[in-house]
Amino acid sequence: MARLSLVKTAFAAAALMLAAGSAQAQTPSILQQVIQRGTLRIAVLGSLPPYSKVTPSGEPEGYDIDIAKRIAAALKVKPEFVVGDIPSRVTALQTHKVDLTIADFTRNVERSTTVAFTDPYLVTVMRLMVREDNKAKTIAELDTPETRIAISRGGTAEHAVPANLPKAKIVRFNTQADELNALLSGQVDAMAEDNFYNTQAIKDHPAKLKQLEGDLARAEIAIGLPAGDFDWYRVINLWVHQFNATGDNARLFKKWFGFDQPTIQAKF
Amino acid sequence: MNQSWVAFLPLFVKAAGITIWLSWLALMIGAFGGTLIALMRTSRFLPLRLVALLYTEFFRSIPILIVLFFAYFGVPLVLGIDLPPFAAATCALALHASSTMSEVVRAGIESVGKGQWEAAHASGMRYPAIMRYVVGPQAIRVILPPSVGVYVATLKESSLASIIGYIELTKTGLLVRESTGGGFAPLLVLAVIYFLINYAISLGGAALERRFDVGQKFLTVGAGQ
Amino acid sequence: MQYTFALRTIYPYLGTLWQAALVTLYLSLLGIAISLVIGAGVAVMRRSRSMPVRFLGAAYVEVMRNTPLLVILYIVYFALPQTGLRLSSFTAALIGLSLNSAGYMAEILRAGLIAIPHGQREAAASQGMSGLQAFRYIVFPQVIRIVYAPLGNQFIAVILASSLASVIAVEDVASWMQTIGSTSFRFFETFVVAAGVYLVLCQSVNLGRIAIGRALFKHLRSAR
Repeated sequence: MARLSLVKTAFAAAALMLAAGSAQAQTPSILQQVIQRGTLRIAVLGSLPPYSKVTPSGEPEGYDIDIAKRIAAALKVKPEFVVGDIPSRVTALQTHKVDLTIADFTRNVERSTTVAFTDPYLVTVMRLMVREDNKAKTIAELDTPETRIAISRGGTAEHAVPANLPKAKIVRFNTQADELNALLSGQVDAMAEDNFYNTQAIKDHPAKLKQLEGDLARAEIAIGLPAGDFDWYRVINLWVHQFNATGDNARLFKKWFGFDQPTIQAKF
Repeated sequence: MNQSWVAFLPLFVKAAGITIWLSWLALMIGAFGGTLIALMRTSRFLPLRLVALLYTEFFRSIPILIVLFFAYFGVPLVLGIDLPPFAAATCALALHASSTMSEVVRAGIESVGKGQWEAAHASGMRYPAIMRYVVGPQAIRVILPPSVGVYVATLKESSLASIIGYIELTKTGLLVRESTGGGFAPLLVLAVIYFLINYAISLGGAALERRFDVGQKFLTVGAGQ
Repeated sequence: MQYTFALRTIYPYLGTLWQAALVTLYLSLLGIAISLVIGAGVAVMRRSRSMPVRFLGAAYVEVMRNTPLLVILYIVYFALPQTGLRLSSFTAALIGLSLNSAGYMAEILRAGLIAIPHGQREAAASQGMSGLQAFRYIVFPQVIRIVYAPLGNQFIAVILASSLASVIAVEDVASWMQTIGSTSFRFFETFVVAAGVYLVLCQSVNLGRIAIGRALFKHLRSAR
């Protein structure tokens, strides 16, 4: 009898510990955390002008950065930037290192199994950028085993490039800055990147670069959030809707990219 | 866009300070941890010796890059503890430094002859007292010069923190490279700054070695990463 | 925050891991071999009678031992092409790794050479030995014994350092870890597997070194 009660006690203790554990797991929603903390932590990229870039003094600036600042202002908190690279965009959300990812982040079903996405604030295409002296005119001409194409490790180009150029050799880098330097110095023949990024790079390096005709993939650029927090998604998605609808987005785009934003509803 | 890198020299200097501080912190934590491991390694108890051996062998067989990625991405994922880039870099560098330092400290302890232990025991001293008054003061002369080599190694390894986005010296150089429109001047400046810092430290180490006259160069510290 | 460790999730990527492990192995083995040759050259330079040659050797060692490999790799891969020299990722990594490691190899070998007193060569000559014979039977066996352990450590250091090649787009084990981690989102599992590969490689060298050392220097130990 005494032994039985001992077992019972043990069970009770275990049940108590489990209950305590699950109570602990029930952390406040991200929205509450952000308001309490007074800061909004946003993952951004360090080398993707004009979306975002980090000046050597460590200050981030760009289109994505301004978006983040506006969201923080709307929530009446301070923005805090966490500069990362392509692979860390997903992990930073997974590990709750950040509350949002605003980093030229293309939404797709594969990614949305691990992180959540808002509606897009930009629709763009991935294209191939080559050096000015390259004789090719279209993407198809580069589908040879000799072609080396720089891509961001873990980015959407991992699928898009082999789908369009099955013969070309893929060369993986961690940052767009390394890709661009590899292209400029002749270490690779092309880089697969966002049309708007390419346009800016061509402007920044006059008479050195050009884009090839043809798209590799369509990309819906959206804000990423940690999965499983509907309240947080609700707030940020509403903000994106209004950002798009009021024309704020179009004005901000013009400021950073220098030309009018193509209508994002275009292909919906 | 295309400014000269010279305009960024003050930033390089500031970043060099960050790099020196980061690696110093890692070295200090590593020295503390390494001493504990070395005491375990020289202990009379087999299990302690075994644990210390496994620890040392583990960290000298894993690239720092992997430890760094694990600290930055793996730890928050698995344990739910969030490590910012600075903490992750310090931890990874300190773990690696501790395994190197444990070998350095062990060599120091073992350089003190058995006879002295026996004599100290015979005069009624206990382990802490022997370490503190007999072995320690002699071992430190053997330990200090190679420690300088570990500092240089840690300083070079701290360049890896740039890969997880921490803005230390290397990352600053890469950011300056972008702001100045590519080119290799910023990379060469980086190499020169690292060389000057490390060479100065190495010279200090050589002076220390002459002063203590240990006669053995610090070869234990292999190719830096 | 719960994370379930499931190695099963990365089974589909193990095929590419084998390729990556081979790249790491080739890069390390070639790096060890080349840096050993360059290192021997520099060690000899540092013992030269000519002062400029000695200075050059010393300068090489100091530069390589005091500059991070990461920065050297960046320079070889991104800066050299601007002078017209274009290298593949693998070649660039091999050059950077070898140049860097050679600085350490040179010091290890030099320590071995210094340890042999000049009198021994003279004694060998007085016994009628040629220079080559003296090297083969007198100098070489002693140098090997001195440099044996530090060389083993250096071999391991080269394997570990080869992981940095992923930064300049070499598809080695460290690159596999980062790429598969960010495509499968299973970072923890890829870390464990990649760490395991390096652990096996390095400990093979380490245990091999101990075993061969026992066999090689058996007579020395029993003589003592």
